[in-house]
Amino acid sequence: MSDTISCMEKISLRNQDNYLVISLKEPLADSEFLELKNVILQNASLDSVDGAVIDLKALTVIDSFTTRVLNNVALLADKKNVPIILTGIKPIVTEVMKKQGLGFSADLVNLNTEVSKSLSQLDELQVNYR
Amino acid sequence: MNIQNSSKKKDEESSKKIFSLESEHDLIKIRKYGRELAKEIGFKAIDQTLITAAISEICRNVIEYAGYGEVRFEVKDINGITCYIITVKDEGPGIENLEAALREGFSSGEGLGIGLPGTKRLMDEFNIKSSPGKGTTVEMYKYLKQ
Repeated sequence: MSDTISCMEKISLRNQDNYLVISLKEPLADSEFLELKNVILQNASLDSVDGAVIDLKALTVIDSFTTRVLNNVALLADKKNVPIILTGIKPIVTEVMKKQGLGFSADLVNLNTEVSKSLSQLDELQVNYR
Repeated sequence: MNIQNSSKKKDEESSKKIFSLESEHDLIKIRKYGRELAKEIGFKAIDQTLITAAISEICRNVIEYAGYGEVRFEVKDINGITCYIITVKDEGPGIENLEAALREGFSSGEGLGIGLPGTKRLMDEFNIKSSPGKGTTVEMYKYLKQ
C-alpha cells in the first residue's frame, strides 16, 4: 500500500530570530520523518541561519525510530556547523523515553537549554493539533 | 517462550478490535486508536503514553521485518482487574535468537534495533513467541490500577 507521502503538509517552516523554526502540526509517518530530515538539512545552512529549532509539541510519543532520526539530523547538521534545538517535548513523553532507555545526544540537550534562552518567543509558536 | 495462559481465555471479554498492519500510515492509525482506547478504559496520561510507545515499537518491527501483520486490542476483566491486552502478530521471518533479542543492550546490528527490552519495560506483562520462518506474536498487558 503506497500512499503519497509528503511531510510538507504536516509541518510549518519559518524564520524567527535568524533561526529556522520547524513546527510539526501532527505526528509524522517514518518516511515523512526521513523527508523532514532532508528538508532541515537542505534549509539549514550557516550562511542563512544561526541554527534550526524543531518544535515537537504535536508529538504524543517519541519512539526509538524518531529518536534515532532526530539524533541523526543533529549529527549531520553539526557537520555543517548548524546547531539543532529541540523544543516543545512534553514532560510525559520524556519520561516514557527515559523508561524505554531512549535519549537525545548530550549536545542536543545542552544546545536545547542554552539556545532556547535566546529565543524569547518560542513558547508563542502556534501549533495546530489534530 | 510461549504465550500463556489458558485460564485467561475463560474470562469474559468486554471488547475486541482487530486492525491489519501493512504501512506506516496504518501504524499511526493503530497507535491513535490504542491511545484513545487506553484513555476510554481509564488509564492515566502517563500509562496512555507508555502503551502508545509500546504499540509504536512493536508495530514498527512488523512493518520493517515482516511487512504485514495484525494488531488485536482487547479489554478483559481478569479476577476483577481490568486488563488492556494488545496482541501483535505477523508471519514474517521471525527472530533468530529470541533470548538475545530480549537481552538489555542487544542490537540487531542493522541500525534499526528491535527494541524489545525497552518495550517490555513499558508494559506490565510482555509475552513473545517467535519461530524462524514462521513469524512472531507479541502479547502485551497493562493492568488498570485503581
